[in-house]
Amino acid sequence: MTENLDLDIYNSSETEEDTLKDQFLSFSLGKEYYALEIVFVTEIIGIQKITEVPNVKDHIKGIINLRGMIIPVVDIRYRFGMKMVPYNDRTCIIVVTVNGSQIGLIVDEVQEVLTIASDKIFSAPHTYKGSKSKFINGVTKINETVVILLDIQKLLYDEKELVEEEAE
Amino acid sequence: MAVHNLDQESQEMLNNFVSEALDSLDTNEPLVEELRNEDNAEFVNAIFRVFHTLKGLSGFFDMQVIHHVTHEAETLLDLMRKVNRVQDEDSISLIYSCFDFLRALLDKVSAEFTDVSGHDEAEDLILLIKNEIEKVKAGNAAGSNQLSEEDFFNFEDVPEETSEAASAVQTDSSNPEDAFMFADDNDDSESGGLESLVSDEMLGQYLSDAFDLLDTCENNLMKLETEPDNKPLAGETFGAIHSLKGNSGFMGFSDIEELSSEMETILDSVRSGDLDIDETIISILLSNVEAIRSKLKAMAENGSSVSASETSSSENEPISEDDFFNIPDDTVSKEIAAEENAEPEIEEYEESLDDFFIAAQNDNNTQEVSHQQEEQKEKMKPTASKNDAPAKPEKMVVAEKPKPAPPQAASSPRLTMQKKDIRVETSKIDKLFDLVGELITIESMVTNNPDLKGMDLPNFAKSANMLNKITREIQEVTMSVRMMPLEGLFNKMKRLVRDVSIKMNKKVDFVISGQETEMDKNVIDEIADPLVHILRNAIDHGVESPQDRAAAGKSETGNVSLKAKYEGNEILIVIEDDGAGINRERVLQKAEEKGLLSVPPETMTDREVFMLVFEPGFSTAKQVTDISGRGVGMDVVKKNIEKLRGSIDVESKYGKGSKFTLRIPLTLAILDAMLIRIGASIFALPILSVSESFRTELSTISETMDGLEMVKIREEIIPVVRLHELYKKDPDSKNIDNGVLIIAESRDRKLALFADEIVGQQQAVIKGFSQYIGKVPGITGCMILGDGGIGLIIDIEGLFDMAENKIEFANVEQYL
Repeated sequence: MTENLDLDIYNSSETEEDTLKDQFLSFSLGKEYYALEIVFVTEIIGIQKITEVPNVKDHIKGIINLRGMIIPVVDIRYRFGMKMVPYNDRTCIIVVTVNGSQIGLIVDEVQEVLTIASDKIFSAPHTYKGSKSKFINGVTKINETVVILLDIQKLLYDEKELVEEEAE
Repeated sequence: MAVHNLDQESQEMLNNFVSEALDSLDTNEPLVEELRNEDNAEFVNAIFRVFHTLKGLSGFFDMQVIHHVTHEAETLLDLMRKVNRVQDEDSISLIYSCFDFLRALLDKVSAEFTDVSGHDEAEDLILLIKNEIEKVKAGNAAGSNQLSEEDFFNFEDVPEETSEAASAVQTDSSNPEDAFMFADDNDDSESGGLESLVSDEMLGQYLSDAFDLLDTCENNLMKLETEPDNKPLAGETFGAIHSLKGNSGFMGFSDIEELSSEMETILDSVRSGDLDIDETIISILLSNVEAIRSKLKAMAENGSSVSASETSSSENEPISEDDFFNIPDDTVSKEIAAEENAEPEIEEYEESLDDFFIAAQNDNNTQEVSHQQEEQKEKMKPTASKNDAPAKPEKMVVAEKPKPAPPQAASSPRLTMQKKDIRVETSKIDKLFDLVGELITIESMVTNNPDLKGMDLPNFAKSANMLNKITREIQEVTMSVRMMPLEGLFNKMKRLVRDVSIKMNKKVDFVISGQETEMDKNVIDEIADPLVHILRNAIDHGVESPQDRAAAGKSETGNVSLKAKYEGNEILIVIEDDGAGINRERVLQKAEEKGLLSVPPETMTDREVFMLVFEPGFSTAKQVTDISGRGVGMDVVKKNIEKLRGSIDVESKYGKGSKFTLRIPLTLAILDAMLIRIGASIFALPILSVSESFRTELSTISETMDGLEMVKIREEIIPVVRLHELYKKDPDSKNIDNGVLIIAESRDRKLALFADEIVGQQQAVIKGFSQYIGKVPGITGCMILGDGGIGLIIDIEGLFDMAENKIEFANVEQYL
């Protein structure tokens, strides 16, 4: 597992589709480490000027102009009910493509690309961090560090919306 | 050609067939309406041809059901053109049913690759058609002594050139199937009448297609010479020539149809592997291509098919007589086997293999094949002459050589055909559209670059000006590419009105105007459904029954009109009827039942009441009919129109009629915007909605008791909307005298919008919000600003609605 830690995350998009299995992009919020399945990740960009859109879902921070494309951005800290911190030059936007829409995720810092075999993923304890637990797919340990694997669908959509989507 | 185990090639061809057939049905449907009129001969002919072509093609694709239905329909139409009279409602309805049935079935064919699913329905329809045929025959026998029943099948009006043929028919006129075979002949001789139906535009389209197809063929043939085993390429060439054949048949250019038919036969054998390509075959095919091309050229120069037909025989013959080569393909051999005298034929053409004998077989009617072959064999024998014809009459009726065209063209000189167009995938145009949008954005990013601020750059300004001019021109041209007249849509509505009024037993006089108005293709597609709903409602709920109308002192026939016209950057579509109008009380009563009322009914204006009919779940009809009144529909109308950034308005006088007005922007993509700033945010207002802007003194502002601010300008009192409150932004100042008031108008309503300042104007390429954001109240979308930032485009209609209904933005339901 350790040999993968050197992988340059910016090359991740060049990797073949089938080798993306078990690959995760990790990032940090405060002192905690999280990871997303890399198949959803399109690119990683630095923090940009965000235009706030009034009267939309609270966790949608606003929209950004990514080379002419207008992309909504979600602040993960807000979503997790964490304390908001000012953006700095380590703040990143992870652009993901979910259900055909591109969405930017604001995170404190992007870490690395991890390969995590499915048998190394454990289900999260139910009591884990309370409200956040609904976004969690599982946990794993990398070099004694706990990494929380996120369910991107639940992270971006409310349960109600997911039910509707399935109904369709 | 069997349709089982379809390879990609066949699927493609089948799809081509379906789309061509659907096209032809759509294009010709409006003509059915003309059958009501006297002097309808040319229209009967045109519709006959639709069925005829479809019959031929469906036979080729082994679509038995379509084949049968079109066969019967063709018989009926043929009778009609013999009888030549005004058609009654029943026949017209029947023809419409045929169109509908075929259209529905073709849709299925494109998915299922077979038409068997329509079998049962087809049986019923065929029965109806047969009845109608009897009726027409009977009606005519009674009504006219000049034509005996037998004459219907004898085609007594076949011109002299084919009189031998006619005499041949006489011998077995009892067999309608046989009568059919000669339909082809008949068409050719009547192409004079059809000529007038082929508009310049159609001819131009046909020619440009044909030239393209020929080019494809030629190139492919060259390639085939070097790669004789390239079956897919042979298939592609076959497809091209097949399309050409179909098109030519449709246009009535039988000589080209035949030439391409010959080529088709050879290529079919090549691609199925029955025939190996060699130099001779390629030469034959290429010379055929050349022959067709020179015909087309002649046609393009003269603007008609006449000269082509005249030149055809001489150019045609060197190939068809000297290099005839008979290729048995599956269909042919099957057909031949079926024929009683098959054996000698096969023997004979095996002998003649050396001679290169091309069977000009007609896929349209495979039964003709053997006749043709026989005839061609005769041609090979120098002794054989046309004098044999009386002895074997049935052979003569097959159009082997193009007949001299009737002398019709001299009287109708045409414009030279030089129109050249290409077909482009819509996705490519969309892409181009997006790019032009980017270009406009970038152009304004460059010319309004913040780095240039305050610099004196006269030369740059000049160049920037030029750039601006050109980008705008590019934009206009790109837009025009997508513009299409509303005519097609309106014609469909004609049909709808007719069907609905018959179903509802109402008499309706339907008038359309402004069908030449052009709109973005995408917009046209989107407004079709709303129009259908409104028109249905106008007839179903609006126009009263003839009795009621008479009782109300109106003419029995109701008037419904559909009009389109330009107004500024919008198109107005007005649907008006002189029916019962909307009953305010009943609407209110219903709305209350359904719990749709949010304010006391007394305070609502008529317009507000009428707009309730667009609420989801609303239906005032006492009786639910199968046409309208299920309470779905009108809300969809409003939703669809709003999706297009358009608006809908209702006016109605109880007892006098109703008027629905749709306002649709010409294009969905670009907007002239006034940019305003509220704190750090930039908002864009459609310039057309802005009437003026000014700074004002506090003294002009008055406040009502419930805290609503009003501004007085020139004796007018206009409510003030603080945009920063609506859009939850922090403004520079909340004092009205520090900012600017912008008067926005929408349908005679005015609002004074309060913002910090006006920052400029820009052509906005409207970008919708991602699905993830969904609908944003009061905002239609966003645009990229000159500095790369994002501006939010204000939805004026939404803004007015919210201001009027005093919706607190804070309370707006999330996740709309």
